[in-house]
Amino acid sequence: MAERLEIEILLVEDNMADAELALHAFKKNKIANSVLHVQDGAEALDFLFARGIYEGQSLSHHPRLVLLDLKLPKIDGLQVLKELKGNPKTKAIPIILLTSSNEERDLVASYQLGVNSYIQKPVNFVEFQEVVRQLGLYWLVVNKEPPAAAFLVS
Amino acid sequence: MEFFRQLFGPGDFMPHGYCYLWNPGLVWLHVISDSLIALSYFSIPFTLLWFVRKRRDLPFGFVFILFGTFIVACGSTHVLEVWNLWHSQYWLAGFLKAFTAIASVSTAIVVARLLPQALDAPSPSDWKAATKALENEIQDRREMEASLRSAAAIFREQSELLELIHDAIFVRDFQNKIVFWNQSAERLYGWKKDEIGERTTHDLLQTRFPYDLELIEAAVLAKGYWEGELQHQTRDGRTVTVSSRWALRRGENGEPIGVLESNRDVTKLKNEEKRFQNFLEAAPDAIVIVNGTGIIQIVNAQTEKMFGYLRGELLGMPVEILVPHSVHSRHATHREAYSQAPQPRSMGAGLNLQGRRKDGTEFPVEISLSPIDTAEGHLISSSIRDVTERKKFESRLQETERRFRILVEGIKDYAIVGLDPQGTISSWNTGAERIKGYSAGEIIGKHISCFYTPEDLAKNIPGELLRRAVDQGVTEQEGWRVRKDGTQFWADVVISALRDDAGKLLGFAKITRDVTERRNLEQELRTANELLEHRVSERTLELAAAITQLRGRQSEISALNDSLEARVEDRTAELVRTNSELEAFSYSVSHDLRTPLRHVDGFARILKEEFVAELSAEGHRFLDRILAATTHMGHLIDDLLSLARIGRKEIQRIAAPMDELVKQALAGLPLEERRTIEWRVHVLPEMNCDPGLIKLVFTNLLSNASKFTRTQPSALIEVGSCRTDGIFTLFVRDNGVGFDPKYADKLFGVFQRLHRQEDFEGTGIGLATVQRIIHRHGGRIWAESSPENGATFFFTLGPQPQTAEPRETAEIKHG
Repeated sequence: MAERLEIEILLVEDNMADAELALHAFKKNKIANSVLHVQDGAEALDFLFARGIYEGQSLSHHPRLVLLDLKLPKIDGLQVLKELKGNPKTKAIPIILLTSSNEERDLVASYQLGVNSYIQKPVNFVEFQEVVRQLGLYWLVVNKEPPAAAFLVS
Repeated sequence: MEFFRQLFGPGDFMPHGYCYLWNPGLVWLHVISDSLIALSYFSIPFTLLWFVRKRRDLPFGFVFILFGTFIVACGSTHVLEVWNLWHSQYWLAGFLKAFTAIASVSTAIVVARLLPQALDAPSPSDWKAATKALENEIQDRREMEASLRSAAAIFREQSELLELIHDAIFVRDFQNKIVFWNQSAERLYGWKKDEIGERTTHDLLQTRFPYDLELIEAAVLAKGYWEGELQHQTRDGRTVTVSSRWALRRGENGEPIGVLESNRDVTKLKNEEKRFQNFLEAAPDAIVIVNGTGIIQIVNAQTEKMFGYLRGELLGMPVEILVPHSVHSRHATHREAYSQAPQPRSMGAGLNLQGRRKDGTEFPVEISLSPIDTAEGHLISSSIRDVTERKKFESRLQETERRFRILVEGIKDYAIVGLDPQGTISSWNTGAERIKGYSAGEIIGKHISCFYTPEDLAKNIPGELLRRAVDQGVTEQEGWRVRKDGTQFWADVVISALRDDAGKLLGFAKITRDVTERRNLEQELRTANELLEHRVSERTLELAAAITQLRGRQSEISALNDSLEARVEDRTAELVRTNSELEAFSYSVSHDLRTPLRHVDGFARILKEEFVAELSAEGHRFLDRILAATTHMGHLIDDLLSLARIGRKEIQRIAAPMDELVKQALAGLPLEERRTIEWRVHVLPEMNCDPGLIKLVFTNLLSNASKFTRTQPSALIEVGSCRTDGIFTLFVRDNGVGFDPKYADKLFGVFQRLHRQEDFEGTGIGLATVQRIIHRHGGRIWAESSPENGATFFFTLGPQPQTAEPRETAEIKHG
C-alpha cells in the first residue's frame, strides 16, 4: 500500500496558467510545500475518497484545505462541493471556492451546498498574491483544524 | 293663799245675828226682806235679757246688759246679808259690795251720758205722725213699684227686640267694658256674652280701623255717632268686614257713658264688589261708568292706560274730557238723549269715533254703551276699544284690494271674468276685452254661454264646467271659444268657485287664456315627432344591417387577434431564448474573458518583479503598459457585466430614504488624498425605488462628479431635489469641468466618452448603467452643462405612490 502524501492543500484547477500563478503565490508566501494540484473534479473526488488512481490510499489523513475552481472539466466545482459536503467522511474538510465568477447564482449555490469560503480571483496579480497570503494565514495558522473525530462515520 | 283664806274664812268676827242679839223677829225680818229683795233683783235681769233678745233692733243693748249686771250684783249683796247673819265672812261681802259699787257707778255714768239720746227718742205722738207718714210713703212706693214693673217689662221687650235684630249689636262703656252683647253678635263673632269677661271689644275682635281710633272716637263725641267700615276677626279666625255705626250713649245729665256699636256683616258684599272690581280691571277694554249727568264715577286700569290719565284725574270729571274738543257739544247732546232712553247698544254706529288722550292726541275707538240701575240712580257704562291697529289693517286691506283690482284689470294676456252663481258675467278685465272682443259695458249681465260653440252648447259644456267647479272647487278645460266677431280660439280655461266663510257660493272666477298658438305649435311638434319616429325606424333598419356586417368583421378581427397572440407568444419565446443566450454570454464574459486577463496580468507582474535585472527600462515601461491595459480591461468587464445584470434584474421597489442612499454611496467612494471636496447633501425625500440600484446610480454620479472636479481647487458637489407638478426631481451638481452640451446626447451611450482617457479615466459604461437603471424605474435622466461650468445631472424615478415634502437642507462635509 502506497504511502499517502501528507497533503495540506488540495488545489483543484483545470487551467494550468491559473494553477501556476496560484502555486507561485503560495511559494511567494512560503506555503507551497505540500500543495497537491489536480486538474479536474473527478480526480479531486478520487483523491479525497481514495479511489481510481488514488485507490488504496489511507483516508486517515485529510488535506487541511481544498481550493476549488467552479468551472472544471468532467465534474464541475459545484458537483464536487456537493459530494464532499454531502458525505460525512469528507464533510468536515474546509472547502474554499477560488473562482473568477462573482455571479450571484454561483454564490448562492455554493453557500447552500456548505462552502466554507468564496473568493473571487482578482484580475490584478498583486491583489491575488495578497488574497493567497491571507487565506493561508487564516486557514493554516489561525483556524483550528477539525479533529479526527469530525471525520468518523457514526 | 292667805288672802283667800281670809276671804272665805270666818275670820275673827262674829256673825251679824249677834248684832241683832239673835232676836228672832228682827233676824227673820232681815232674812225675809233681804231674800225677797235678792229674788226680785235676780228676776229683773232675766226679764231684761229676754226683752233685749226679743228686741234686737233695740238701741243701746249694752246698757241693758250693764244694767242687768248691776241688779244681779245688788241682789247678790242681799244674799250675802242673809249669809252673814250666821257666817262672819265679811271680807267676801265687802268685795261683793265693791264689785256692786263699780257696776252701779258704771251704770249710772252710762245712763247719765245716754240721757240726751234718750230724750231724743220720739214720743208716742211723734210715733203716730211718723206712722202716718210711713203709710203714705208705703203707698207711694207701691205705686212706684207697679210703674217700675211695667217699665222693666218694656225694657225686657226692647232687649228682646234688640236680640232679634240681625245686626251684631253691643254696648260698651268708656272703659270699653261690654255691657250688652246681642245674639247676632254671638252669631257673627262666635263669642258668647259670658265668655268675653273683662276683655275690650277691640282686643277681642282685633278690630282694624279705616283710620286712627282717636279720630273715630273724637267724631263719636263730637257728632254723637260715627259710620264706617271695620274689619273684625271672629272667634274661629275668619275676617269679616262690617258696616259699623257707633252711637254715643249719654247719662241722665247728658254726660257720655258709653257707645252702642251696631255692625252689619258686609263681607259677601265686599267680595262681590272686589270681584266686580277685578272683572272691571281685567276687561280688555277701557270701561268708563258715568252718572246721569255725565260725570265719571268709575274707570278701570285700561282707561288709564288708553287715555293716559290717572284714575284720580278722571273720577268726578265730565266724560267729555275723553272726547275730542270738536265734538264736545254734540257728545253732550247725544249723551243726554241716551240717558232719556237708555238701552245697551254700540255708540255712533257707522261713524268714525275718536278718543282723546291726555296729551291731546286722538285715536279711533269703538264704544258700546249699557245702562246700569243702581241705588244711586242710573249709571251708564261705556266700554271703549282702541281700534287703531284694526283701522290700519283695514286701510291696508283696502289698499291691497285696490291694487289687486288694478292688477286684475290691467292683465292683458288673461281674461279674468267674474260670474255670479248662475254664470252671469259680473266683472270683465282688459284681458277679457282683448281676447274676446267684447267691452265690459257690452258683456256684463250676459251669460257665459255666449262664448261657446254651438256643439259645446249642445253638450251643455258651460253648465257642466260650472257644476264641476262647484263640486271640486276648481276645474280646468281646454276647448274652442267664440269671439265677438265669430272667430274661434283655443282656450285654456280655469274656473274657481268663490265661497264666503260660511261656504255659501258667491260666484265664480273664470280665467281664460288664448293658447291657439301653443296648440298650433304642439301640433307641429307632433307632426315633426311622427316624422322623426319614421326616420328613426328607417335608420334602425340600416343599423341592423350595419351590425350584421360588423359581426362579420368582428370574427375577422378575432381571427387576426388569435394570430397576433400566436405571434406574440412566438416572439416571447424568442425573447426568452435570446435572454438566456445573453445570460450565457454574460456568464461566459464574467468567467472566461476574465481568466486570460488574469493570466496576462499575473505573468506580467511576475516578470516585472522577479526579472527586474533582465529587463531594460523600456521593457519595464512596456510591462507597465500591459498591466494598465489589463486593469482597464478588468474594469470594462466589470462594468459591462453590471450593465447586463441591470437589464436582467427585476426591480424591487420599496420606500427608501434618498439621503440615506447618498450617504451609503459616499461611504463607498475611494478617498482621495490632498483634496477637499465640499459635499452639500440637502434633505431628500423618501422615494419608492430599488434601493440597491439607486445607490449604484448615486455611486456613479458622485464618483463622476468627484472625478471631473479633480482639477478644481475647491470642489463643490451638491445633491438635492426639487418638486415640479408633484414630481420630485433629484440632481447631482458639481463645479467641475463640465461638458459641451453639443454632445449631451452621447453622454449616456455605452462606451461613449467626452473626455480623453489621459485626462479622465473611465470605461464609458457608468452613465449607460445609470440611464438603464433610471429607465427601468420608469424615470428620466438628463444633464445640463457647459465646458468649465460644472455639470448637473437630473433624474426622476417614475410614478410615486405618494409625495413627501423634503424637510430641510443639511450639509455633509466629506474629504
